[in-house]
Amino acid sequence: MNPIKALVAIAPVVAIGALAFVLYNEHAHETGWSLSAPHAAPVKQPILFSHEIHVGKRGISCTYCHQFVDKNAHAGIPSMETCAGCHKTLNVAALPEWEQKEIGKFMVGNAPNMVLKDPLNPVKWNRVYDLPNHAHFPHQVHIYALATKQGKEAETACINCHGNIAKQEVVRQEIDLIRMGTCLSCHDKYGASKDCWSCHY
Amino acid sequence: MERREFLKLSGLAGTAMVLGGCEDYSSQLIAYVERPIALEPGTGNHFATTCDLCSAGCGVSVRIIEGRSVKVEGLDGHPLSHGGLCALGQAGVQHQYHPDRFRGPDLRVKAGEVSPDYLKLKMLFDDVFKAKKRPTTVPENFKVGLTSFAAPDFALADAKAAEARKFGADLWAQAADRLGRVLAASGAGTVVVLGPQVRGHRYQLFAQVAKAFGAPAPVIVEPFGYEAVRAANQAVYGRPDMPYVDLANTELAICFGEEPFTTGPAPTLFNWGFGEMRRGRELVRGLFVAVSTRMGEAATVADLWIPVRPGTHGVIAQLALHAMGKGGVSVAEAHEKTGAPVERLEKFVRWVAATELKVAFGGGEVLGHTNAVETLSLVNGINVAAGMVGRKGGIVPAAPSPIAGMAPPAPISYKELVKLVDRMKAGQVKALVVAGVDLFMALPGDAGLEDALKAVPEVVSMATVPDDTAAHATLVLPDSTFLERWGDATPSVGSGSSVATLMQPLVVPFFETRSAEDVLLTAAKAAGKDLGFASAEAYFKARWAGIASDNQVPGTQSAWKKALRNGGVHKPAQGAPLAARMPAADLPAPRFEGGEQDFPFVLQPVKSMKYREGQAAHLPWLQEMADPMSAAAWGGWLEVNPHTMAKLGLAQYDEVVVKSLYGEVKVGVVPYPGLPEDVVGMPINFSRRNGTRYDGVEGGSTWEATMKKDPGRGEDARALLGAKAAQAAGGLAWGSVRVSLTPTGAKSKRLVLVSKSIQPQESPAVPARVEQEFKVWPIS
Repeated sequence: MNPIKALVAIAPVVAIGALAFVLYNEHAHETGWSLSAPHAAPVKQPILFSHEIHVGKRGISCTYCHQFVDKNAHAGIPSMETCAGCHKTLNVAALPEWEQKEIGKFMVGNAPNMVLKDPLNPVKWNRVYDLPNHAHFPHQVHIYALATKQGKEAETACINCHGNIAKQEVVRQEIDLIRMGTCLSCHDKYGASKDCWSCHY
Repeated sequence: MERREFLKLSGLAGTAMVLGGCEDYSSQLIAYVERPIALEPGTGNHFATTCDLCSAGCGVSVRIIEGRSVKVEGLDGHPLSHGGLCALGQAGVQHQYHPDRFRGPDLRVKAGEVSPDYLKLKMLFDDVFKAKKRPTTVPENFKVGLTSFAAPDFALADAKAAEARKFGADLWAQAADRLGRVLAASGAGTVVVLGPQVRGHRYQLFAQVAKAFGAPAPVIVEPFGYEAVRAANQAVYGRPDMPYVDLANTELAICFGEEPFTTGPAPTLFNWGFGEMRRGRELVRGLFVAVSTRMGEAATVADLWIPVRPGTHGVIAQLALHAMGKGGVSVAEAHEKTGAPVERLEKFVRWVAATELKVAFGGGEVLGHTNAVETLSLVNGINVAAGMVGRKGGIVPAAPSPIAGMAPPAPISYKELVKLVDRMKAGQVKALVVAGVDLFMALPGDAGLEDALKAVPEVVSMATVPDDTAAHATLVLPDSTFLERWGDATPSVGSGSSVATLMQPLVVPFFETRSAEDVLLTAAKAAGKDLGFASAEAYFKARWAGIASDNQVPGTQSAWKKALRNGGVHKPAQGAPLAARMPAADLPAPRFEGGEQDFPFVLQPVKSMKYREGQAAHLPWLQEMADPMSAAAWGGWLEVNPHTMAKLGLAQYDEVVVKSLYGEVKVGVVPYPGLPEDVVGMPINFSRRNGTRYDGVEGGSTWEATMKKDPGRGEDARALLGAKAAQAAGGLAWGSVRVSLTPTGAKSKRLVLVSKSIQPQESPAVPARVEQEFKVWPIS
């Protein structure tokens, strides 16, 4: 093939591909994951929710808030009432000022009768983990394989993909989760199926 | 370029396109305020309820995902649906999500003119739609039926939506007050008209309210109804109700004119019965015979189709009687009168003589003829002569509802409806309340309904979506759909069981609509006639208090919940024995309006499974769906025998003017070999003048445009029928009109054909929107 002709033929394709790649990564950057930066930065949230305090210091189980993780494809996020269940009796005055400020973003009143500040507008959390649409990660299957099947508590499995959440003040992708190699190495390690359709269905 | 290089480039281009084309997705996770019990994200739950889109009353199972109804299916084990569901029921979710649904009450100052308040409400909801593309959550837990669901109705999720809801609620308070005043002022001059699907305690509540205000009992109007069937049943079986036709256990089923599997009184039940008849028994495969003028869906699945001239179906019934030695006519006479091929008639006689278990039933196109009652009486006579009345595999008496007094009275006849229209014209009706039926769909074009409605001071419409009756209303009080409200029903046809089905609200009403029960109770209370029920839920619970479901104690919470879970209560049962009188042997010849010279063709109006009696015309899935026989989609068509087309020099898609004594319409031609050369077929009730964006002939006008009286819409076979054409039983003889065809020389701009053999691009008619959005069948 004539090199010039080949170049002319390839150039628009490469240009389109490059543009798509840039746009895609731009979008990915906003949403917290990126093809080029697997270890994404902490994602800013509307409330500075600290997993370090809730999980690390208070010892709250993952499944208390993410109630579907062991029975559904989606782990789920806690309802506002779940948050309020603890926070309505919390003595806010005894907390550091920044914590008071963050709690004040969704609760009002005084303990033990605090109520949701704006029930019409629940918190809109920013997504930290997401997979492309062509790949599926059913949480319950992984929890069963890594924990329940071995007689362990469900939350012992979470660390495999999400890292040590108890040490993360603001959650970030600690493990290079989005790459297929990460999935495959784990599937290999635990003897899980590596058929394409196991995840791409 | 070499193959290898081409593949490389293709791969690269494909990758680039895939990456570039990756769809946008939400980057936010929005929490529930209060998570409903049993709700898991992304996981569907199935709940039982009842479809009310026709009078069959099929139990359905609805899949709900996070408070949204996403799929309607038949309820397994239900005696009407047996786990199956017809196309109309499947499209039930579109009824709920219809973009042109009334957003809330419309308190009009002048009949037919939309109020500024309603326009504001519509605008508020439109803003919510624009602002939100994805569902979010709800602020409070809606206790809905068994579900206890907080539906994540995005319309509740933000301040704009809350404003729309609040404005709608305020309008409802005014609307209920106004309805109460209208009922109180009109008193005995009020007429309440209900649709045929009102088959349970909804009727009783309307009756209670009417009585409280001194008005007569409500009437039920059934468009293109079964008056002749009821009259024939009364004459032969001693009761007018529709018995159970036990197809499942018979050896030979003879169907006269009816399309039992697509448009009959209970298509799903008959489909199940047909399946059981053919494949449900070892060593026995039942035979199915269809007797009809037009080759419809039943004829295509029949083992034997007997084509007959219009209105001569009864001759074949006489032939069957002859085969059983009960008088009747011979094969030669039958051939002469019906035009049916001799060999088919001989085969039919052999089958009738050879089988012991046989059942005959009729309806469909027979109902449109002037001799319908006599024909159907002879059909019933076959069952009497064969000893199949009350016998397994024959005609089984319909069992009464397990709840006494639940069944409404029979619908009024067409003749009585015309009398009502005359009373309206004479100013004798002060207020007309219409719920569940579009009166324009029940009357021919020249009935003068429009003038009659103008003579009624207050017309109250409880339609869910805009229709022609609502377009003449002074007050629109939109009813919620069967997925959003409480209700119950007892089926209109026998099913071999005693059945009472229950309807429960599975989702929060999509817009600010209210169930008619809630509106009536509030309005009555506002007018000082408190009926003692706080809500529709309380009303239905009270009515079902005596129901024991299996081993549950009547009136207990567990009995109620069990009934909800099962979609009601039912058990195999038969009604009181039927009489079995042989009918008169005479069969009058059918009469047709219009001279043969001027109007050489008999018009065979067709109830298509796309539109049924008109209640499906606003649903785009059904408009889009190709008619199984003609392959036509979107709007109407004219079926003409290819030989006739050749004689008239017509080609497919040619536009013709169809003219009768009463009116004319323009329509595109479809070749249809399954009709005699002197008969043309045309669907009825596929369009409205003031319907939604989908009922229009052109299928693209917006709701706003229809409210401005778009003149290009509403051409329908109804325009060709005459109001005076009534049968002995009082039914409309809708198949008794002759027509002429005049080619316009142009191609139809409205006809859309969907077929492998018909290339859509040949048609200038395929609207651009259809091509873009709905993928016409492969062009090859």
